[in-house]
Amino acid sequence: MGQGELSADRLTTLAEALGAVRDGDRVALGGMTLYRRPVAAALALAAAGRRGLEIVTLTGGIETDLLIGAGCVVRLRSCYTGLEIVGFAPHFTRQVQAGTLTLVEETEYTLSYGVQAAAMRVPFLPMRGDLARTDILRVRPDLATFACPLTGVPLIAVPALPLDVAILHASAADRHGNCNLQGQLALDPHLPAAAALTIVTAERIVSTDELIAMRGSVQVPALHVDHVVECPGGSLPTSCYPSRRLDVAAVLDYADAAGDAAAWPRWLADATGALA
Amino acid sequence: MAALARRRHRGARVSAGADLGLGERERLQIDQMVVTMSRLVEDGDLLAEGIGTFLPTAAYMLAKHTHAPRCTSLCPNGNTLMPGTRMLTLGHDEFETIPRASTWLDYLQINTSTMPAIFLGGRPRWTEFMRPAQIDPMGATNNVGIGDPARFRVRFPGSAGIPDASTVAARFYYYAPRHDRQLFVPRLDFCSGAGHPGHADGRPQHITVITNLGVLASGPEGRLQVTHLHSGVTRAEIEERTGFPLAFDAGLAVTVPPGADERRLLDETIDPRGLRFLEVLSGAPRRARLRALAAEARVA
Repeated sequence: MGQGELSADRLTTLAEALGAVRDGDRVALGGMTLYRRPVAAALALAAAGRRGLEIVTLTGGIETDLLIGAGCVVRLRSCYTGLEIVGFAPHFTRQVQAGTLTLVEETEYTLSYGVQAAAMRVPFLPMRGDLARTDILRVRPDLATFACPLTGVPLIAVPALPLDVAILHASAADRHGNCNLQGQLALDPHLPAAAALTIVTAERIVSTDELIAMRGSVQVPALHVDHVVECPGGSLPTSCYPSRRLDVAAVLDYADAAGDAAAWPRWLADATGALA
Repeated sequence: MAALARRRHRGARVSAGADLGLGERERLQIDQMVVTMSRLVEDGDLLAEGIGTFLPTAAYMLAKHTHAPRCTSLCPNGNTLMPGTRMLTLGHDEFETIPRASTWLDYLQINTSTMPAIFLGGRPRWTEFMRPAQIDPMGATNNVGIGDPARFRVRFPGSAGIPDASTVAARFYYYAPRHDRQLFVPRLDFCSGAGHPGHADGRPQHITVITNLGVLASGPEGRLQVTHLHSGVTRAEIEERTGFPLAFDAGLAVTVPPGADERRLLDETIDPRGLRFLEVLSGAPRRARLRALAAEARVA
């Protein structure tokens, strides 16, 4: 939750903003799979050598996989992690199979309900009990089944998922932290309300008036935001609608490097070096 | 001029097909799957797309071009409700769907307000085709992993919304471009998509699987049975490539093959770059094809 007056200037540098993230934090990453991901912020976390993170993302893509490959992540919550048309996410796949990464098996609903419950400051939200028809509950003992106190129908309590940090890449923001998001919105408008700290990297910094005139206007208000960083290209190689398309060739390059023990340290060093 | 462009374009398509290493039978099977899915679409449906799932998206566009022009697409890439048709893209759907969207949503709105009623059978009628990694005889599916769930030997990307949707929907579709014994298994390693419950709880459920060999659907006892064989496919072939004993529907039919007009729409209007064929490629040929398509996109 943002501190200080709404009109405060929250513009800072990537290193300073990400310096607020601690080892062991539960960190939600905005965007979805290969669309408007906070890739530069993830690289900054890797460069800072953060350890023991729990990453929360509706669907994980290159930003999540590179953090896993850099040794920053011990736990991941998502309902899909991969590179879509490019294939499996190499580090995610290898580390889950090796048992070095704990995956909390989410569904679209469980993650959505958990974030909403955290924003509402309630311990859980009820979900229909039908999920018991799959094996998900066998690997998620924290999803408690109970009888509805009103009707008696079976329900599932989805625990609130309070976040230490939410990191979003915005299409545009003002100096105060008001954000405009375009393209794939994922859970982004709701993550800051569930987070103790919100960091925004923005494709560009504009005036509040310009922001209000954009499609969708302000979807994340400054009252939820702690740090804003001007970071053009901060989602590369993922998209940032409307200014930039997904760079499929660069994702293929990533997949080749991440799947090769010799090439991976070079890819990571080049990518984090490019931040400086 | 237009005729010349079309001829040149066709030439390009043929060479692309050669690069894919796919024979005419495999290409026809893919188009057979697309038109079979398209014919299951009813006019006015809400068509839920996946991301990078080219066969269902091609089928939806074909349906909108032909018998179902009033359908609306729910495009996950951009979370938009989009009337009208578009060309398939390689990861650039946002740029096609968002400017033409009637509604623009985030995923919390989708999951808490839009889909719960629609999955349960509200209006409009909802149609979606999911691609599983394993299917059992009752039509239950796995998109999570192979081996012991405590430590999967092979970990898949994940089941996304399949657990949420399959457990409440009375009608559920899957598609499978590679019908084989790795896919159709007697027992799942992990269930992430609910199967037909049999008679046990009286729940009405109907599961349909469209494969490159034919169509399977829930029979009277809930077990999948073959309702259609695609043209040229034998009972012996589909039995041999299924990992459990198959029953055949009493009314077993041969699927109506794709018409020339349908294939022309796919080749020239909906998917001129042949992205749908990526769904049957794997390994080095798939990687090479993606590289070529990505290079084309950069030049464009």
